[in-house]
Amino acid sequence: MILLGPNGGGKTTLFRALTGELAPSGGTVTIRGRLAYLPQYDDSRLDFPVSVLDVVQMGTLPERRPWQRAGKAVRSRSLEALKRVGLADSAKDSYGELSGGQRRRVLLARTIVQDSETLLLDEPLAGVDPASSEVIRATLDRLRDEGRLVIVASHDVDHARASDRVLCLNRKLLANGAPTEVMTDQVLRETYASDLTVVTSADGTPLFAAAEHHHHHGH
Amino acid sequence: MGTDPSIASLLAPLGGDFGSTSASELALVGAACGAVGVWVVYFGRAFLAESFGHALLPGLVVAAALGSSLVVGAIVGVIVAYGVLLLAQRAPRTSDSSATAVGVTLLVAIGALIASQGTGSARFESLLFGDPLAATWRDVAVAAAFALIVGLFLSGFHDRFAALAFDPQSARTIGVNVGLTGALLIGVLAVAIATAATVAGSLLALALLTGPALGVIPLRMRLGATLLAASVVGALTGVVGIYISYYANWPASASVALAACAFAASGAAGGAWLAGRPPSARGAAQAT
Repeated sequence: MILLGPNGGGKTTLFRALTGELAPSGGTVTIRGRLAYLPQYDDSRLDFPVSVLDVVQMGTLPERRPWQRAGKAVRSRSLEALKRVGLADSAKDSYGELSGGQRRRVLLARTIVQDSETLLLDEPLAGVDPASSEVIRATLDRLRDEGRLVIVASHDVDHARASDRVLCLNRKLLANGAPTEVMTDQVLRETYASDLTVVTSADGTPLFAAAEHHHHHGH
Repeated sequence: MGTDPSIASLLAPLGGDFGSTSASELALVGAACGAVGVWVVYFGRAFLAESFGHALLPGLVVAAALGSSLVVGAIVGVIVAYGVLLLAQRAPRTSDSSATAVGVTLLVAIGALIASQGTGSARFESLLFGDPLAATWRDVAVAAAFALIVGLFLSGFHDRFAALAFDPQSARTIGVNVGLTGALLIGVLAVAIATAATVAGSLLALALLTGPALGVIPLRMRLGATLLAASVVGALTGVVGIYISYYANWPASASVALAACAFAASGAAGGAWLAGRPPSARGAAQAT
């Protein structure tokens, strides 16, 4: 499922309400099972001396008691999560020495290792190189095929078109349904207001993309 | 068969009850403080540690005047200091660092005033600058208990501290109790600086926490190795300080502080040297 909307449209705020970090100003939030959340920005310290595997294993902290170290089972699960994002061979590498796209994949692996039924991913493709982007998209597809609910916040219209379901959001819910049904010209214009760039393909089909200057990529 | 004179000379600073108790106490406190110092540096809490070290002075002075345990007095002093500093930071239109500086100055002044009412000047000087050569075997036992407790504590919360130091925001999202973990760090920092102050004095205690940590962090080893190395360097700091004091006839705690600073400077130099090497060579160094 894609949460589609411009920056400032409320995607991250909705995620923060779902994770309990923010109290909703109205209504209630009901969650079944645990949520795993991948924040939009990577504010991690790149000079902190941890390996890629260490970072993934951090995802299992809530299930471990203070004196309980990561055992074989946790290590195995973490390596499996790294394998899913194509970084099993980098398990012993220093996290800070990876590229931005690789770090995003490691943080996705840390989200996966939490074994939650629902994954909230805030702009997982923002600022990511094409190779990593492809790996992340394929990983998300596999997670969906396994029956996990994967909710991705994105301003990428093309990404939304390829999803099962789209929620268009710009400070309020504008549409909710299958992309072919809800991603109409009118809904997209309403979602992006004046920020939408309309591009027409060679055969005359209208294509849409959010204005580039609104992309605030992570570092 | 007698001991080789050169070996006897080498071991002279550690000889007898006088040297052995001092070295043992310093090594134990230094080892524990070295590991705590790594977290203090990674969490950017060196200023808080320094503030605690100075502001606990009234607790030390009162304990000395009453003839009770200096460690207990220092810990009570840190608790009171933390309360005063939190209160000072509530002052409107005043930055936290400015409020902390005023609060620390106030508490040091209160400590000096209390000391002027009864504690002798020599005793007061030892509370300010430390007197590790006065250690008894009872002090060594207290230092051993402190090192054991700190070691167990850091072992238990290692992964949570690492997650929080790595990225506080993401630590929250994966379910780490950020507030509690941060409070635990301040707690172990307070106990460590209080214990260090009873050995190295209120003014020099910080050296035992930050010197060894800064001596190893720039070398970019893995986290576990960094903590272990900081403990070893912390223990060595005390012993090297005893040697400097013995051969240069300098005050012991100042010598320990100088040794700590020398380790920190060595770490900085080592880090600069590593940074100038190609990435593959740095990787090999990190794997060790």
